[in-house]
Amino acid sequence: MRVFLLFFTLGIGVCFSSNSYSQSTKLSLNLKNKTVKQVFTEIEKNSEFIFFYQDDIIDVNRRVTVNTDNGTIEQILDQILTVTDNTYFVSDRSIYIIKDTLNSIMENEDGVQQQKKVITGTITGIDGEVVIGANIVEKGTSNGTVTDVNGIFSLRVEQDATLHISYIGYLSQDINTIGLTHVKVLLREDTQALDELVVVGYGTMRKSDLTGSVIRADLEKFRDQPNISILQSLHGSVAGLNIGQITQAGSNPSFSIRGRTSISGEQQPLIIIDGVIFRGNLIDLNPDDIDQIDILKDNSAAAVYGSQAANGVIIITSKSGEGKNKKPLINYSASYSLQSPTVEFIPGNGDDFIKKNTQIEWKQSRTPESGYLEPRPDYNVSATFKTNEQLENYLNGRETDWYNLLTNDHIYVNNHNLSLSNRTEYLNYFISLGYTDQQGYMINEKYKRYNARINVDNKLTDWLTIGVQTFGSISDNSGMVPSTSDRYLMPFEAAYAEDGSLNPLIEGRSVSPLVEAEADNLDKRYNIFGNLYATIDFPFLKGLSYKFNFSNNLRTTRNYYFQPYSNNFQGRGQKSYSYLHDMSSDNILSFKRRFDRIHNLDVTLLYGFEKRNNDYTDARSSVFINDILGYNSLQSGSSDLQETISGAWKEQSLYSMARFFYSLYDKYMITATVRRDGFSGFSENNKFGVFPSLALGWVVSEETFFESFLDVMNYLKIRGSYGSIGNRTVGRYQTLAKVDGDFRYVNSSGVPVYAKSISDLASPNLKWETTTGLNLGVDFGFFDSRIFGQIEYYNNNTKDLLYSVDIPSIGRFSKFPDNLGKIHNHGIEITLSTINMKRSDFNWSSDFTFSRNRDELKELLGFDNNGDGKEDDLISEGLFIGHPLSAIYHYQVTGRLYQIGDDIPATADIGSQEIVDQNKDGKIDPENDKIILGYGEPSYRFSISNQFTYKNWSLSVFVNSTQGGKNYYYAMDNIHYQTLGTGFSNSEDVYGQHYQLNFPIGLDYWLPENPNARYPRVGTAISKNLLATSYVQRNFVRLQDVSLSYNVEKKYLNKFNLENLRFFISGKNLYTWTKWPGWDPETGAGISRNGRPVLRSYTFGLNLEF
Amino acid sequence: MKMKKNKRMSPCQRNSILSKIFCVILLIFSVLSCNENEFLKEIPIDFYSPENSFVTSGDFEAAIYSLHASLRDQLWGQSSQSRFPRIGWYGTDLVESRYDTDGSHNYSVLWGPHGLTFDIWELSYRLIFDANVILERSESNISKLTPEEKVYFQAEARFFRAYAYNILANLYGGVPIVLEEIKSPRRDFVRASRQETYEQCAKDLEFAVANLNDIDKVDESRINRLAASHVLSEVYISLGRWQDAINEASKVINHPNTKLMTERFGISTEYLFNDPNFYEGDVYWDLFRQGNQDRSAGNTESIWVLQYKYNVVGGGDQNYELERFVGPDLTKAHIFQSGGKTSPVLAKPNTYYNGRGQGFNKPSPYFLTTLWEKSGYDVDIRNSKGNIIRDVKVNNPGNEYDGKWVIADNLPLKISHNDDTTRHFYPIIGKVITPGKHPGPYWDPDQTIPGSLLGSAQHTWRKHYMIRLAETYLLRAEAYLGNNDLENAAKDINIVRNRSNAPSITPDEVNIDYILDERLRELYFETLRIITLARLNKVVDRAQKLNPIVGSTIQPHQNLWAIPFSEINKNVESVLEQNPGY
Repeated sequence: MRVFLLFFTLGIGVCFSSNSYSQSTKLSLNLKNKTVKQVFTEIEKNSEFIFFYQDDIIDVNRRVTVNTDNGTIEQILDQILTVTDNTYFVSDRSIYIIKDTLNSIMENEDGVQQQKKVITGTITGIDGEVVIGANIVEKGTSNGTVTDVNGIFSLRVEQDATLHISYIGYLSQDINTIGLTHVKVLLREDTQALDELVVVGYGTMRKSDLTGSVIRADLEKFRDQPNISILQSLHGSVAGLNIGQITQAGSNPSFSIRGRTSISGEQQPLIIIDGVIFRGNLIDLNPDDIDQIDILKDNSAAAVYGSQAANGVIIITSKSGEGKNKKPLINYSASYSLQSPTVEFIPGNGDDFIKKNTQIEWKQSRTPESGYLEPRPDYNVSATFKTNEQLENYLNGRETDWYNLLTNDHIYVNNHNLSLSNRTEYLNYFISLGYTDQQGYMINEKYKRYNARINVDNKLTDWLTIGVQTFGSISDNSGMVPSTSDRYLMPFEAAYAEDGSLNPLIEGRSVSPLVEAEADNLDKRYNIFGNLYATIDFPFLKGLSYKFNFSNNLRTTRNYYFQPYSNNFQGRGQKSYSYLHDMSSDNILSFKRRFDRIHNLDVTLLYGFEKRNNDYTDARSSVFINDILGYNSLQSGSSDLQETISGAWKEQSLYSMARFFYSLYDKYMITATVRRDGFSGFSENNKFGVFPSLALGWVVSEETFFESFLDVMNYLKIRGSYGSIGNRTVGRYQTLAKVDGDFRYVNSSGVPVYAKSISDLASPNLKWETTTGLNLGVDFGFFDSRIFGQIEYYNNNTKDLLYSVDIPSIGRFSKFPDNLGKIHNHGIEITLSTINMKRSDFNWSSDFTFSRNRDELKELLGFDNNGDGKEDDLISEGLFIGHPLSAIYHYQVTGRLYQIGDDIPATADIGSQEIVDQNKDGKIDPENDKIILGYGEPSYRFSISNQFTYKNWSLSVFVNSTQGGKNYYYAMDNIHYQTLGTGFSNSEDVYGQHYQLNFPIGLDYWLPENPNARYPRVGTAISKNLLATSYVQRNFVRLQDVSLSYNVEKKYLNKFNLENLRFFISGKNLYTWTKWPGWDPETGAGISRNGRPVLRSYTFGLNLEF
Repeated sequence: MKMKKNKRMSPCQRNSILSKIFCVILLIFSVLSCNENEFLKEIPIDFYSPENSFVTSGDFEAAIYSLHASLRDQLWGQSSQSRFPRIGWYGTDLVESRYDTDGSHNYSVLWGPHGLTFDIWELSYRLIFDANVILERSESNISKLTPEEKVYFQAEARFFRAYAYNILANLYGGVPIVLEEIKSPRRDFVRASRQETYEQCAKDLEFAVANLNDIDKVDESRINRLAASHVLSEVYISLGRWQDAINEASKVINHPNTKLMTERFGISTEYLFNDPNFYEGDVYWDLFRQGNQDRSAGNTESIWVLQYKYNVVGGGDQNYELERFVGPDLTKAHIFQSGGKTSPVLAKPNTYYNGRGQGFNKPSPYFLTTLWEKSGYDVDIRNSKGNIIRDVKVNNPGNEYDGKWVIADNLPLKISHNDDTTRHFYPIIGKVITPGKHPGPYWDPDQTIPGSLLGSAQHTWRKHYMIRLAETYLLRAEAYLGNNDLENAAKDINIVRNRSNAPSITPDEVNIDYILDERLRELYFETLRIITLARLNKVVDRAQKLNPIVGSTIQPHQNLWAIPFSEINKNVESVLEQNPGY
C-alpha cells in the first residue's frame, strides 16, 4: 500500500514540486536514544517532509541519537542511517528509505569478478522528477536492469562499459562509464514526446496512450507566414487533413479530413475551441493566440463527438500563461507581407483586342481563296463594336486598361500582436491583442481584423480551479469588390469621360464596375466567445475530478450597402442585421489514476447541452428622392418600395458520453467510448442517436521478446479501432411540415391578399448518417527515434445517406428526403519525422507526410430501371454507382479539332473538338457517348519539410504536393465554358460576348493558321449539350513555405532587458511546378475570366519578448 | 496536502469512496437532467406549421387565395421558354412554332413521356393537394369555422380540385384520383378511368354550384357559382350528359347580369401606333384593354378573371408575358437598304408596337388566313386591323423607309434565315398587347422615338379571362350538337358571331369542327387550345389537316398526352399505366 501511495504521489503530486525544499529547509534536532520511527515522526512534525519506506527493509525500532543544529535533512539522515544497509532518496518533500544495493553487492563480491565494477546512478527528468523503470543496458551485452522506485539503479559492468539508457517518451542516451562508479543521468524528453498530452475531446491523454488516430499539428513551423486563417497553417502539413487554397482576402480555405462521407450533408470537420464546439467562422480567430491543434481522424477518437464527428474533429487550444522566473512575459510580434499573384492572365491592349476580333471573324476578315489566311482588304472590324462610343474610342485611340484599374498593385498583409502572460503557482493568464490588415488582389478587396483574448486560470484552493477563456474579434470586409470578370472589359469601353469623371454606364453590364466600387458598403462581423469553467479535484479520492464548462458565443453581423446607381440611379439601400448565439454547458466527471505503474485508468463521463438561436432583420428600400444619407435613412426611399424581412431559428442538443480507458503496464491499452446525442432537428421518431466505438493498442517494443530489436527499432506500437460516428445532416426544421405564406395575390381592387399553402411535408423518420469503420495504425521509432513515424489505414462505410428521393408529383411534392445509400471510403496516411543531423550547433530534421483516399458510391436509390441487374447511375446528378463521388462524366475528345474542309458532323463546327463516338453509331448524343473520363479528387498528397538550425539561425523549407496519379485530379481545361468565349448559342448574335471581351494575350485557340491549337475556335456555335472540352490533371508540387529566422544572442539582449528577440523573413507560394494551364492548380480554375490568382508573399517580421 | 505513511484504506472505506463517486454522478445528473423530449422539441419560430395554419376563417381564405395564385403564376406566368401557356398552344391548329429554343418541332417527342408536358401535370396535382388540405383541415377539430364558412370554403376548394382533374382528364385521360391530404410520401398510385375522373369532377362541381355565391355577390378575385356552372357544363359534355350540360350553361347565359358586350365600352380604348387614322377600335378590342375585364367597368361578359396589378406585392405583374410569347420580334426584323445593308423595322421596342415581342408562338397560316376566309375575313371584327395587325409602319429614323408600311409599301424584308421570318415578322395579336399602358419604368428615358421601351418591357398589362360568356355559348352549342339540336346550336354560335359582325350560319353548317373553328376565332390566345382539342379527341385530326409542320410528325395516338415518364418511374410500388402508343 505504501508503494501505491508512493507512486501515487509521484504520479500526481509533482506538478508544483521543486527540489529546492530539501536544500532550503534546515532542521535542529536533539534526540537521544529514540527509535528511528520516533525520529521520523519528529522530523515530519517539524517540517513538511514525509517518509516513505517498506517495513521489511528498515528496522524502525532501532534506537539512535541525533544531534544537529540547523542541519540539512541529508546531514540528519546520514547520521541515522550510517551503520545500516539503508540509504535514502529525497524528492522535494518526500523522503524514501531504501536498501543500499551498492553496499550489498559489494559485500557479496568475489575475487573472480574483480575486473568488473558496480556502477550506480540516479535517473531524473529535466523537471527533477525521478524516472522509474528506465532501462539500463550495458552496450553490446544483454546485461541490464531498470531503475527502482527512486530512479536509482546499480549494475555490475565492465570497467569501460558504456551504458545505454532508454525510457518511453525520453531520448535515449549512451554514457561512457570509464573511471566512474556513480552517474547522474538527466533524461530529456523525446522531441516526439510520447508523454506529451494531446487533447482528445473532454480531456487529454498521453500520446503514448492513444489508441485512435489523433495527430497534433506542428504550428511552429508556419508561425512566420502571413496566415490570416489558422487553417492556412495546417495546409499540407498533416496527413489526412486536406486544406484548400485561398484566393480572397479574409477568407477561409476549404478543409476536410480524410475522404468524403456524405453527398448532401455537412462536409466540414467539427471545430472545437478550448473544449467547446465552435460554430463561427474560423477566420475570426487570431492564429497567434493558438497554442495547439489536435486532429481526431478516426471513428474511435472522434466518437466522443458522436453525431457530428463523421467528418473528423479539429481541436484548437488557445494559449495559456507563460512566465519566466515568475515575471510576466510580454510578447510583441509584427510582420509585413508583400504579395503578388503567382499566375496572371493579363489582357492585351487595344491592338491585341482588334487583332483578336479580326481573328474571331476569320471567315469575314480573310479571303476564302487563301484558305482564310490572307486578310480581306475591305474588311472592317468596327462592325464588331456594339456602340458608337466604342467605335469612337477606337477611332480616336482612347483605351482603358481595365485590368489595371480593377486590380491592386500593392497587395499586402500587415500583422501586429501583443500579448501579456504569466504563470505562477496559483494564477495563470494570457492576454493578447491582435491587428491584421489585408489588402487583396482586386480593388476594394480588404480585410481588417481586431482581436482580443483573455485566458485566466485561477487555482483558488487545492481542490478548486476557476478560469475563463474568452476572445472577441471584429472582422471588417467592407467595400464593394468588383467582379473579377470585369478585368476583361474591352479597352474601348471608357472608364472615364473626357472631363475625368467616371463613366456611369458600360455596355453589356449596365453600371461601370468603378461606379459600383464606389457604393457605400459596410460588412462587419463581431464575434465574442467566452468559456467559463470550474474544476474540482475531489479531495477524498485522488484522480476524481469534475469540470464544468459554461460557454457562450455571440456573433453579430452588420451588412449595409447603398448603391446610388441602382434603379436607374435612383438608389437602393439595405441594412441587414443578424444575431447568433450559441450556448453550451458541459459537465465532465473524470477519474484518472495510475496504479503501481501497472494499471492506468482514465474514465470520463459527460453530460451537456447546447442551445443555439439566431434572428435576423433585413430592411430594404429603393428609389430615393435624395440619397445623401444613404443606408442610414432607408425611410427616404419610395414608400411603396420599402421592405422588411425577418426570421429566426433555434435549436437544442443534449448529449452524454462515456469513455473508458485502461492500460496495463503501458503496454496493452483499450479505449471504449459511447456517445448518445439528442438534437432538436432530428425527427420525432429519431431524437437520439447512439455511437459506440472500441479501440485497442499494443506497444510491442515493451515486450521482452522485442529487446533484441531495440537497437534498431526502439519503438513499435500497433493500434486498431472500430466504431461508428454520425453526420447530423438533417438540419433544423427539416423534418417538420411547413406552411409558406405571403402576399401572393390581389383582389379585384388591386389590394394584396395573403395566400398560404403547405410547402413541405413532415419527415418523421429522418435521421443522421452513420459512418462505421476500422482504423489500423502503427507507430514506430528507429535508431533511438531518430526516425519516428506512423502509418494509418482506414476503411469506412457510411450508410443512411441523406438523399432526396424522387416521388411522384401526384402527391404534390416531387422529392422526399430519406436515409438511404452507402459510401465506402478507405485510405492510407504516412507521417515520418527524422532527425538527420544533430550537432551541438547544427541540427537538421525533416518531416514527411503522405495521404491517399479512395471513395466509392456503393448504392443509392437501389433502382434498376434499365434492367441490367445493377443499380442505375444518377447521371443527371453526376452520381455513379461503384465510382468516386467526383466522377467526371463527359464526352471524350480526340484532341483533334475540326479543320476547314473536313467532313464535319452537323453537331460540330470548324475548330470545335472532335468527340469520340463511343458506341460508333455515327452520331454524338449525350445518352451514348458520354463516359467517365476520370475523377476530380486528388489521388494522393504529400509534403516534405526540412528544418535547419545553426547557432541562432533557423531555416524551414516546406514543399507541398497534390497528385492525380492515373485517373484523378482532373479539371476542365478550356477557354469556353463560362469563361471567355460564349461557345454555345443557336443564334448568330454578332454581339456575342467574345467580341466584347478582352482576352488574355497569347491564348492558343484555333485559327486557320493554327490548326493544332490547344483550344477550340472562339465563338464556335454548338449546342450546349454537345460542347466538349478536354480535361487535364492539375498535379503540382509547390515550394509553399520557406522561413529563415535569427535569434539575437542573449548577451546583447541582456543590455536591453529583453528575454528574446527574433527576426524573420519568409516566403509563401514561392514556386509551383505544374502543367496546369489555368489559374492556380489547387483552385482548379481554368483560363476563365472569373479565376482568381493565388498570391505569393514575402514577409518580414520580428518577435520580441521582455 | 499531506499524506501519512501509515494510512491504510480499509475495504469499507473503499466502498464509501465508490458510493461517494456514485452519489456525485447521481447528483450532477439529476440536477442537470430535464425532460429530454421537452428540451429537444422543435418549435418553429419564423414559419407556420400546418397545425397552426388552418384554424380561422382568415387562414382558409389565405389557402383559397393560394389556389388562385398558383393557377395564375404557373398556368399563365411561367417564364421559361417552353412552359405554359406556350405548351398549351404549341402543336395545335393555332400556332406554327417553327422556332423554339430546343430545336425540336417533333410533337411526338414534345408531348411524349419525356416531353414538356409535366408542368401541367404537376400544377394540377398541386392544386388538388392544396384543395384536399382545405377540405380535410376544415373538418378538423381545431378549425374554428362556422358551418356556413366551412361549406363555403369547401365549395371553393372543390371547384379548384374539379378544375384540375378536368384539365388532367382532358389531356391525359384517366388519372390517379386523390381525395385526401397526403401526409407521407406515396409511390403506389393507380390510374382511374377517364370516365371516373370526369365523374369525380362533376361531383365536386355540383357541390360548388350548390354552395357558391352568385357572381354579383363575390369579389372578382374569388370563384362564383356561374364559373362553376360553366366548368360543370363542360364536364357534363365530356360525360355525354347533354341536357345537364345545356342546363348548366343556361344558368350562366340566362343570369340577369350576364350578357355579351355588343357596344363599345370601358375605361380605356386606346389606339394603336399612336396613329388615330389607323384604326378606331371595336368592342372586341375593348374587351382586352387594361381595366376593361372588370365587371365594374361595365363588362357583363366576364365570368372569371385572373387578377393582376402593377407594382403591388402579389400583383403578378412580372409574369403575364403574352406580349413576349406571342408577339413578333420587330427590332430584329430587318429591311434591306439601298446600299445593301439592312436596318431593323423598329429601332427599339415600342409600346405601340407589341412591346418587346420574342416570337415564340407564331400564329399558324390556317389561323391567319383560312380560318377567316371561311367566315367573314373582312367583316368579322375579331379579324379587324386592330385585333390582328397584319402590317406595321417602320419606326426607325435610321431606316430609309422610316414611316412606310412594311406590307402595304412592299418593303424589301430580309429573309436570311427561316428563323428570322417566323420569329421576327408576322401579324401582331391585338388581344395580347396593351399599347401605351406599359408602366413608367419600362419606358426608355430617351423618347426621341415616342413610345420607346426598355428591353424588360415584355408583359401584358391587363387581367386575364379564365371564363368569358362567349365561351359558355360555344359550350352550350356543343351540348346542343350532342343532343342533335342543330337549331339551337346554330343560334348560340350566331349570338357569338353576330356580336363580332360575322355573318350568321345555318343549322346544317354546325358540326364539331365548325364549333372548334369558332372557338379559335373567338378565343385565340385566350384559352389553352390543346386542352379543348384533347377533350374532343381532335388533336391529331386537326393537326394533320391544318398544321403541316406538326401534322408531319404527329402520330395517331397523340390525342392524349403521355403520362410523364418520370411519374411512372417514381411510382415504384404500383404500376401507373402509360397511355397507348407511347
